[in-house]
Amino acid sequence: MRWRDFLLSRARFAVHVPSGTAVVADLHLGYGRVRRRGGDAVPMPSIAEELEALAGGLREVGVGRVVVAGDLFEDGRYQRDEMETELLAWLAEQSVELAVVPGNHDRKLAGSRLAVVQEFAIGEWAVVHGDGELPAGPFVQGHEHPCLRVGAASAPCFLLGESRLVLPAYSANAAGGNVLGDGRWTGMRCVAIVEGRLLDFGDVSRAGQK
Amino acid sequence: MTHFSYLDAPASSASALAALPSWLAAWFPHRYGEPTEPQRLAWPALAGDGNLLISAPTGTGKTWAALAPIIAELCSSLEPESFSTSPLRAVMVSPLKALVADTARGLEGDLADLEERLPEGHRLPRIAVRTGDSSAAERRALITDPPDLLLTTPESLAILLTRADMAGVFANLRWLLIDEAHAFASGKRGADLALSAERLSALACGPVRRVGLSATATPLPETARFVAGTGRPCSIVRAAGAVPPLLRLEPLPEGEKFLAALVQRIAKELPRHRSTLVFTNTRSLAERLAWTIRRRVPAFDGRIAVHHSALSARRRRETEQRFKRGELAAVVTSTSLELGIDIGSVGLAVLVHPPGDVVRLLQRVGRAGHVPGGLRHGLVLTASAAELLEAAVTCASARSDQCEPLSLPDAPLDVLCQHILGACCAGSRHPDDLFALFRQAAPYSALSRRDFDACIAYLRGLDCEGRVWLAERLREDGDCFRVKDAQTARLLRRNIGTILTDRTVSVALRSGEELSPVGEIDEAFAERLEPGARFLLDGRCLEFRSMQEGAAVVEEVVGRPRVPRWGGDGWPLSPQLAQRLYLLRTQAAEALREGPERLRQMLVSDYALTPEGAEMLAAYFQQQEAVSEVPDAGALLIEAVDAGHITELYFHTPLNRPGNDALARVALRRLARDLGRSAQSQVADLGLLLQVRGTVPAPADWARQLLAADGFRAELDTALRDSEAVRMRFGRVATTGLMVLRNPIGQQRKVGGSDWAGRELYERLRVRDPDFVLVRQSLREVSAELCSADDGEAFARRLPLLTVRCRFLRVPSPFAQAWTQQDAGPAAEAASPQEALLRLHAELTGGGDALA
Repeated sequence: MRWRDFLLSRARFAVHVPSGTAVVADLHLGYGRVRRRGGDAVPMPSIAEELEALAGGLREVGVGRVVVAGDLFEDGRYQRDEMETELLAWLAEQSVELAVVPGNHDRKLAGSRLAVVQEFAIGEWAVVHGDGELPAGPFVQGHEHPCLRVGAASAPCFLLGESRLVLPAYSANAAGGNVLGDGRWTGMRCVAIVEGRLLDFGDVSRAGQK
Repeated sequence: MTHFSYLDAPASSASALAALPSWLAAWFPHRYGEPTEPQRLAWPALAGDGNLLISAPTGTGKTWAALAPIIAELCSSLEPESFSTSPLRAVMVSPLKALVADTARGLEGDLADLEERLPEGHRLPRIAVRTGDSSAAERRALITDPPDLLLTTPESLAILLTRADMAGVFANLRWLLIDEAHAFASGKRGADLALSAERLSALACGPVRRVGLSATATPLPETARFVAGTGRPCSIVRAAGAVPPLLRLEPLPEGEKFLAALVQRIAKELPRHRSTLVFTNTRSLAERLAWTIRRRVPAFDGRIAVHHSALSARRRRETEQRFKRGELAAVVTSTSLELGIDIGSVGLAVLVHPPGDVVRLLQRVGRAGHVPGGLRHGLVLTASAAELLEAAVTCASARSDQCEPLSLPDAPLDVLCQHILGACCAGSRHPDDLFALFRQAAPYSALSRRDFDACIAYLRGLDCEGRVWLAERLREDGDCFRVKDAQTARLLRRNIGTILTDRTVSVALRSGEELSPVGEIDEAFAERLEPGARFLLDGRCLEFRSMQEGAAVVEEVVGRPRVPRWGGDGWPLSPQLAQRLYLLRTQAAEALREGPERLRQMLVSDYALTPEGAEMLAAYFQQQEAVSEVPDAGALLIEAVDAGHITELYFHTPLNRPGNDALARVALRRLARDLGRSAQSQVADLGLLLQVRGTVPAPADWARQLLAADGFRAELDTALRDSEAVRMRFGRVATTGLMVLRNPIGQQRKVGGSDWAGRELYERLRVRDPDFVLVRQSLREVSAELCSADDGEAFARRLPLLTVRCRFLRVPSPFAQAWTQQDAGPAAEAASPQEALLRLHAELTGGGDALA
C-alpha cells in the first residue's frame, strides 16, 4: 500500500520509495534470551529466525538498506556481542545495509559493531524512536507498538498523520497499545495488518465509534 | 483398590471421653462441654489404627474431633529413638493463611488452659506456624528447633519439601491432618497437596496416619480417597443429624429497581439479627451494595463493611475481628467468607442471586448459626423469574441434601512438573521411583507413563525429538535426575503453588502525609484511570490522584463512583442443577396444563415458595407457553427470530454453560465449513444462541447436522486448539508448569505484556511440538471445565432420540430472554478471532457483508 513517499509492507515495515530505504522499528531481538535470564523456560530463537519475516519482506520489495527506528534489541546490555555477531552474519548473507537509531531498550550501544546513529533523515523525514522529544518537521517513529484491538482480536497497525508515520512493532513478542479509544491518535489514519493483508480502517476516531 | 468403611453410630459421651487419657477427658468438658457428635464418632475411631475422614457440618467441633487424640499423644510422647531427634509428630494443612493463624490462636489458648491439668511426666506440645507470612527467623527455627505440631498451607509445605535438610525434621512424623479436605479435593491445590502428602509420608520412618476434616461432601469415599491416597484403607465417620437450614426465598423487582429494593429488604433484616452476612457472587456487587446501604441507611453507616479477596489482607483481618466482636452489624462479601475462618456467630446469611450450586449454598448458609447445634437461617433474594426458578431448585436440592458430586482433578501435569522438580531439589531421584510415588496420590492414580515422561522431557528442555530447545531445569545424574543448580531450586521456591491471580495494582489511601493500603484493582482498570476519576473500593468512594511507585494513590471523597473490574467473578450452574432445573420446567408445564392454580400449589408445596413467588413463576410459565412452549425432556426446542439480516437461533438444552459451549464451538465450525455461513454464538446455562447471517429455512434439519455426534470430539478438539479459551488457559498452565514464571529473577521487561504466553509462546510451541505437554494440559482443562466436551458429546449422541421442534417467533421468548440477558458468561468465539477485525473493516469501508 502506498502512502505519500512510503510503501507500507505487511511484514511490519515501511519503505521510503525515493531513497529505497526500509524503516523498521521495535525488533526487540533477543526477547527470549531476556526471559530466560529471568528464569523462564522458553524457546530462544536465533537472530536469523527472528528476522525471517523481515528478510522475506525485503526480498518482496527489493530493498537492501534498512534503518531501525529504535529498540533493535530487547536489552542492549545482555548478550549483545553474541547477538551482534549473529546479526552481522545475517546482514552479510542477506546483503543488507543497516543503520540503527537507538531506542529506550538499546541506549547503551557504545562500542557496537553496528552503524549506530543518533539522528537519521531520509529525504525530508527524520527517523526517531519516539520516546523523547518529537521533531517539529515530518518524522517516522516506533516505540508506540500501535495495534487495533476488537474483542480478542488484535492486529499491528501503521498510524498515518499529517507529517508523522508511526510504525507497528516488528517483533511479534511486543504487546500492542490499542489505538482505539486513545485520544493521542485522533485524526490519524489506521492501516492494520490482518491475516497477512493491509487493511485501511480510515480515521482512528471513526473506527473507535463503531 | 481403596477400602472404605463407615462408622456411623456415635459413642456415648462417656465412652467417647474414655477413648482419651483421663486428664484430657477431665479437661475437655470443662472447656467445651459435652463432646459433639463428630467428636463422639472420631475419638474411638482414632484410638485404633489407620486413616480417617471426619465429615460434619461447619461449626460442629471437627477440629478437636481430630486433634484431641493427637494432642494427647504429643503431650505424653517420649524422645524419638530413630536416627532423627526431631519432635515433629503432626502436620496440619489448612487452605488459608488466615485459617492457619486462627487455628493456631485457638489451640494456644486451649493448651494454656490445659497446662495446669497435665499430669507429671507430660509436657505441652509446641506449635509452629509456617505460611507465606512467616518471618525468616521463624522459617529457620523450623529446621533448627522443630515444633511438635506444624500448622501450614499446601504451598508452604511444598516449599519445605524442596529442602534436603527437612528430611530429618519430618523423619518422626506420625500424623497428617488435612483441614477442609472438601475445599481442596476437586481443584489443582488438592492435586498439589496430594503429591506433597505422598512425598511427606515417604520421608517418615514409620507409617503416617492421615486424618481429613470435611464439611458435607458427596461422595464421601472420593474425599476419603483424596485424603488417604490410592489403595489405602480409610474409615469414614459422618455426623448426621445436621438440622436442615431454614431457607427463605424471596423475589425482588427486576431491572433498575433491583438494587433499591435489595437495600430496602436488607435494611429491614439488619435490626432483627445480631449480625448478618450478605453474599453477592461478585465483588463489584458487594462494593455497590455496601456503599448504597451506607448512604441510604445512615444508622448502619459505620457498622457495615465489605470483604472480598481484592481487599488488602490487613483490611480483611480487621473486618473479621470487628465482625466477631459484634462491632459490625453486617458484612457484604462476594465469596471470600465462604470458608471457615472464625467470624463468630452469624444470625442470618443473605444470598443475593442464587449461588449456582448446592454445595456453595450450604456452605454460605452454614456460616449462620456457626455454633454446635445452632439453627442456620438463610435468605435467598432473586432478581428475575428465571433466577427465582433456579433458586427454588437449588434450595429444594439443599433441603434434600442433593449436593453436586465431588470429583478429583485428572492428573494435572503442570502441578506434576512442580513436584518432579521439587523432589529432585532435595536429592537425586530415579524416575521409576518418582512415578510409583506420585501414582499413590489419588488425583494421579491414572497418570500414564507417557505423560510422566513428557513432563520429565520438558523439564530437561527437550522437544519431542529429544533435541534441547528450552531451558534445562533437570539434569541427569546416572540413572537419576537432580535439579540443574541451586538457582533453579530458588526459582522453584519463589514460584511454587497453583494459586494464580490476575495482574493487579495496589490502591493506597492518602490521609494527610500517610499512605495506607486499601486493596487492589485490575491492572486494565487502573490503566484507564485519570486523575480525578472516582471508584468504589472497600465500600468507600475513592478519587484517583496519581500513580506512585506502581500503586494507585487515592483519597476518600463524597460523590458518584464507578465500580472497578476484577477478573474471575461469576461461574456457571452445576450440570446437576441445570438438569434438575430443566426437569422442573417440564413438570411445571405439565402442572400448568391442569391450570395455573395447580402450578402455584406445586411450587408452594414442593419448592417452599411464597405465594408471591409462586404467582411470579406461574405468570412466567404462562408467558412462555403463550408465545412458544416449555421445552420438555424428549425434545430439543429451537426458537428462530428474524432480526433483519441475521437469524437468531435459540437452542434450549438441559446443559449448563460449559456443556452448551461445547455444542456452540462445534456448531460454529460446521456452519462455516459445511454450510459456508458465518455466525456468532452466545452460550448460557440451559441454552445457546447462534446468530447466523441470512435466512435459515429449516432450522431443525440444521440442528441435526450441526450437532451430529459423528466426529464431534475431534472437531471440538480442533476448534479448541485455535480458541482464545485454550490460549488464555495456556498462559496459566505455563505459569503453574514453571515455563513462564510469576516471580522471575530481576526486573522483567513488560514488552510482551501479560498475555505473551497465550499469544506468542503458544503459537511457537504448537508449531514445534503440537502435543507439547503443557499445551495438552491446557486443552484437557478447557475440555473439562470451560467447555464440557463430555456433556456436549453426550447430548449430541442423544439428539437422534429427541424430537427437534422449531418455533418462529417475532421476539425472543421469556426463557430465551432470561439466559441471553445474563452477563456472567462470555460468548463463545467466532470461528476466527480476526473475523471481528475484518467485520469492522467491512463496516467502515462499506464493503458490505464480506464475511457472509
